[in-house]
Amino acid sequence: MPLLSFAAPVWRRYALAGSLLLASAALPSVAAPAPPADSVTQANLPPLGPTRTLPARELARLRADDDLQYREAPPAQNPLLRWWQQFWRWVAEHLFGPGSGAWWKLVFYTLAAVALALIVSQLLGLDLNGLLRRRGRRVPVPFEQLTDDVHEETLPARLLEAEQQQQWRLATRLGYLLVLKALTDRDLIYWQPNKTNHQYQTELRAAAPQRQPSFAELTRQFEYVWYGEFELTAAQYELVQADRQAFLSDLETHRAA
Amino acid sequence: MEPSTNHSPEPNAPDTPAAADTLAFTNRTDLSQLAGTTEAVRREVGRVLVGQHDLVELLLVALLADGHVLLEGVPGVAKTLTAKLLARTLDVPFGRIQFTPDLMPSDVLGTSVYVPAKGAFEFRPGPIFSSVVLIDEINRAPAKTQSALFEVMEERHVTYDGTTYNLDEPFLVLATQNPVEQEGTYRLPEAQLDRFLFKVLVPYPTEAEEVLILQGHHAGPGGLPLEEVKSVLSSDQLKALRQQVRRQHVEPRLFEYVAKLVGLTRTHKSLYLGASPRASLALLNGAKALAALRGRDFVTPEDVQHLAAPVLRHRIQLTPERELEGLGPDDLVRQLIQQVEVPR
Repeated sequence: MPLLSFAAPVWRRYALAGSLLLASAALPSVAAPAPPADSVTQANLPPLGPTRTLPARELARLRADDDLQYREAPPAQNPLLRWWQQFWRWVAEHLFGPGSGAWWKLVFYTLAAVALALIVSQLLGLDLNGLLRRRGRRVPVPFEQLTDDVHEETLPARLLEAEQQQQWRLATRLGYLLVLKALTDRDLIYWQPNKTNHQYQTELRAAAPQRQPSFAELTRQFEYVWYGEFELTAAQYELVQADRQAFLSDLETHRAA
Repeated sequence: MEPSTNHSPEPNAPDTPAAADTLAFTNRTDLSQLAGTTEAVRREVGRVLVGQHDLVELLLVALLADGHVLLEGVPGVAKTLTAKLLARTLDVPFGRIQFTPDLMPSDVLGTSVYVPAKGAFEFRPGPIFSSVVLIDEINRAPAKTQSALFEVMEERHVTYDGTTYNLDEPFLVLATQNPVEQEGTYRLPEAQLDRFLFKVLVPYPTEAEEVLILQGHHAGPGGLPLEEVKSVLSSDQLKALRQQVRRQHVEPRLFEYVAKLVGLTRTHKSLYLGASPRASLALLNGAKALAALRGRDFVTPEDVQHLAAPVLRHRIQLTPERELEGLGPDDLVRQLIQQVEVPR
């Protein structure tokens, strides 16, 4: 029976292969052949010659040569960056260092909380003015966009000036802007520069329906005089003025009540 | 005319207040004929059409502003019927073209035919040679046929075989189309869209209106009583009304307002095609006509804002990113209006 035949069981073939492998691992030192006579070994190397050294002066010259300097020069530090790093180092030392006091930590965390709240309110479009003031929000009316440099604060004075100069058309317009401002201050309309007068009428109809007819009349007067460029006489302006003053005084009475 | 201090309500101005001791204004242009005629048109159209008041108002504005109208809506919302009714109220020649995928430009404009008796070719005008032309389903014809309308819609004449044929006044194109999502349609070229004064979206009727439609259909003899609709506006009358509209007063700041509104479409980051100066002219002319319809001889920012969407929605194109986000042209027009200060 042969030692290993293909007919042998698998386990027997694996067992025989394993024992051959172990035997070969145990015998290499015995079986290693001697090196041939003409091979180079450490023992038969020729002796080394004298060590050559570079002259010290030449070495110094080469070391001083800029072309042979391979280290990168450190970047010139930006003063602003340097200040910024110093600032954060200072913050870290004072807030979180071993000698930092509780006061500085409190200031830092308060500022961080306020900043976070502002960012969130901006993102959500919240109006935080109401937290500080009881009255309705005053919307800055962009009168400065108008060509004759009318300003919100100077509106009553400009109206008076226009009346004194008998510029009835301009006075009608300034008077109407004053009405819009009064309605805005009382939260009866929400001023937006893109809104039309009829949109304000719709808002007022919802907020104070009893005032809508008189405001509609003021709007009509303004539109005919301003957009329609109808010229007014002093007597006609007096009617416009009377309507406006009645409307504004009624608003004032309502607020007082 | 000057404003007066009489204490009676002024008949031409719907804005006239009910209060007694107020300043009355009289329009410098007498708009009574315009008011009467347009009211008659509304009445005649209303004999058959239920609801769609905004649509009828915009059609009247376009009629007075001398502009063409593109009506868009799903099938069955009375686009074609409304156009036919408006045409019937006008005492002018009416033509109708059903646009199909195999329609050729010569089917619209006309063609030269050989006349043996004369021994020469003679131009036979197409259906476009009418005063009111209803183009039904305009987006079912390919671009080749649609582009045949460029010259005629803008310049009001047709050039064929080197000869120019002028169209009579008035010339009004009322085109209908289904939304582009519907099968078998082509998107209109931008150049042609720009030639329409308005693109009006025709909505579904409200429930109450639909009930009225059903009741009318149930009680009636069947079919639409189109023969009951009378012509109430002649060609000459229309020309006179258009002259009145052209003379409407516009405060100088409103020119800037219109220019800013339209100009913003050219720089808006959500748009890759803004509106042309033709859009500014359309907005101004439309606002003048709307102001006249509302009984004023001057334009207000309200008129401009009211017409911004019909004038601009078909003249702007959103970037693909914005379209994917679900933004529509009307949303963008609303944004534009919010960005421009009303002159006051």
